Amino acid sequence: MSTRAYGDSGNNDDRLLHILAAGDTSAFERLFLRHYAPVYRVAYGLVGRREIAEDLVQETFLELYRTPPTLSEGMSLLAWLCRVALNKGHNALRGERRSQSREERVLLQTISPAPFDPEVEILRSEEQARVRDALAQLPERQANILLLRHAGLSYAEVASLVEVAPTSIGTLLARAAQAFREAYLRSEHPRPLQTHAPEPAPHMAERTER
Amino acid sequence: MNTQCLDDGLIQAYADNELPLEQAATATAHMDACPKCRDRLAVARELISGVDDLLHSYVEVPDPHAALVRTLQTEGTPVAARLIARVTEAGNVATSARPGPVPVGRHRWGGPLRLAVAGVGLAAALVAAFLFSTMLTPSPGSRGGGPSGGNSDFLPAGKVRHIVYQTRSQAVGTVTPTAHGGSEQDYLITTTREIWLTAGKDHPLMFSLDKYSGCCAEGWSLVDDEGVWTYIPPVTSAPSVGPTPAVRNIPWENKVFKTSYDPLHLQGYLPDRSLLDELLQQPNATQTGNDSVNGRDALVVESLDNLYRLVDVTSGTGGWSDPASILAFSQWPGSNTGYPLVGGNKYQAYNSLGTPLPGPTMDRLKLRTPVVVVSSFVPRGASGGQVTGAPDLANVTHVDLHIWFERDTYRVLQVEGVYRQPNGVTWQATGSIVKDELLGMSEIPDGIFTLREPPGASVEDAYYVFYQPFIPASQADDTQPMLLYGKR
Repeated sequence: MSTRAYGDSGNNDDRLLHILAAGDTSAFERLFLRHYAPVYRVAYGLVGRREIAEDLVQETFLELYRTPPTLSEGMSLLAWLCRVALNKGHNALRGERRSQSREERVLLQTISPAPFDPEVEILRSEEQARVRDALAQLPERQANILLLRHAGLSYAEVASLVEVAPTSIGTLLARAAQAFREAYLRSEHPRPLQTHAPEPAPHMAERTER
Repeated sequence: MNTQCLDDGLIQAYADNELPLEQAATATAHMDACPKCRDRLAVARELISGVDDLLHSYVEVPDPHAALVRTLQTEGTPVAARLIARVTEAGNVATSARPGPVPVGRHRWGGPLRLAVAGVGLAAALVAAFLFSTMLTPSPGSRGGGPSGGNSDFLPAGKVRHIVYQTRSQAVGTVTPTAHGGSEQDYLITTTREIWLTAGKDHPLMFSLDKYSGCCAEGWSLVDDEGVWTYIPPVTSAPSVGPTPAVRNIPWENKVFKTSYDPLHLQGYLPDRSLLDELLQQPNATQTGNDSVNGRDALVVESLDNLYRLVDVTSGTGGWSDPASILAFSQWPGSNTGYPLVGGNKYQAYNSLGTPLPGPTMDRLKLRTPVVVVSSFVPRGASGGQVTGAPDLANVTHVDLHIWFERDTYRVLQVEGVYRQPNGVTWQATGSIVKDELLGMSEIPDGIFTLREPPGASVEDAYYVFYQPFIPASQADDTQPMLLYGKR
């Protein structure tokens, strides 16, 4: 998170937003393709399920399409999109929490959608399950900070979205990262955090009876 | 030089290049002289890098072009349609489905149909599953209603109601199976489900058995006083008819899953008016007239264009939806097959505790996003791949339904579904009650309501999740929770 993962396209975004607001929907395509990945990462990180994340991101971009925002000072379009996605995601999760305890939710997320492609037999990796569990164990604000920063938002943007002073973000981010690490390591058979070697892609495995 | 060590927040911000220049310069000067802070900086960088790597590998971002098209399709305006055309033309974007999983059909209660499907033909079985689920899935308003085990006209004491549902699924249109080593007969699938129901002590007892034409495997479900038992048989050989599925090695083979009893297990089999009522709430559903099915008076309801597109869900989930309303959603462990249920039906998802199988995607109904299962299959005799013009539910864009409700009881007597693909291929299936009789106990097979564990089969505890009832889009509450029942 030492660099902005998706680049700073703010000025260009402003222009495209202006075009979109004027009714030229071709600008939407460019904005969508530019920001889909980071917004999806935030949504997926929050809900941990692909189909739901896709829904959230879809609804988020539809909001952009239907009502292009007027961005306030210091707020990038990406930050705005992330905020919308987070709000929608938290609403969805809050609804879920009404009917089940957090433990149940974690359990369900843990056992939920392990993709099973009968042709290629892809399993969601244990790694992914551990990351999902670790995120689920974080307080909401910590998880948000990690996800937003990972999506490429600046400290100022993250601060705006989580409603804290920008000068607090460094401390909060450090704590969030540490909490995430501890939660991750608490999971079974943890793989040590490797920082100097590239992460392996989620492994492919034969589906086996467990 | 500033001799005061940096706090964690400053070090983090320094590592992230988020400090203002002047502050960063001060921090640099300090760390040049402070090995402790340099070490802390290294630790911070290592930590955040590790977190970043994990988060990065955790998320596999879908193809944004396809996502863009889906989003615009949801918008559904002419302007969006033009943009779709442009995007699709420019980017050669698949608009219907991602390449992906072949579904394994599944009985909505976790059992027979799914395995039988694997042995028959995925597309055909999906249609059959649709019909079965349409006909048999309980409706939300019926929860708690119906016979509970005592006397009723439907299940009088000492009697057994024997019902046989049969579905016939066939592709019509431009299918040319003979060019691929099969015959037209390969695309005709007949599926039969026999059901025996009787009043029990606390609730009705039921045994159902699925049979597929020419198929090797039979699965069954039993509801007894202890709970619900669902047997998924092994697929021991290739089916003698039907497209050969590219699916094998299903890890649920030859298992009996036990779940606790819930009225929803049976109410789909019992007379219930709420299905009709709620179906008619659909914006595109109307009562079209009267008819008779096997001598029974029926009301006919048509529900057109239930689906408007299909999206493969590679996470092992699937569902059907409608742009204006939530129809249903289903997800099965190990299966990408979903069950489209007409509005008003509840959906029951099965999962096995103790086994990390896919669980319920409990938000699905709340999100109102059109998602439907992909089906693709390989015709018998072909080495693989998709056959041009063959029935392919992956490309179904619309489903038209006609449902015959018994006039007296509002039971579903017959369902006809027509699945339309943009290429003109139509996949048609009809399911109906072909037998419905009241028998004495002496007239039924011995021990039919008794658990008989198949040789070599293991028994696993499981639980059911019951989803919310259908909610019209206008009334949908994105925060409304799902209901969770019967968890062990």
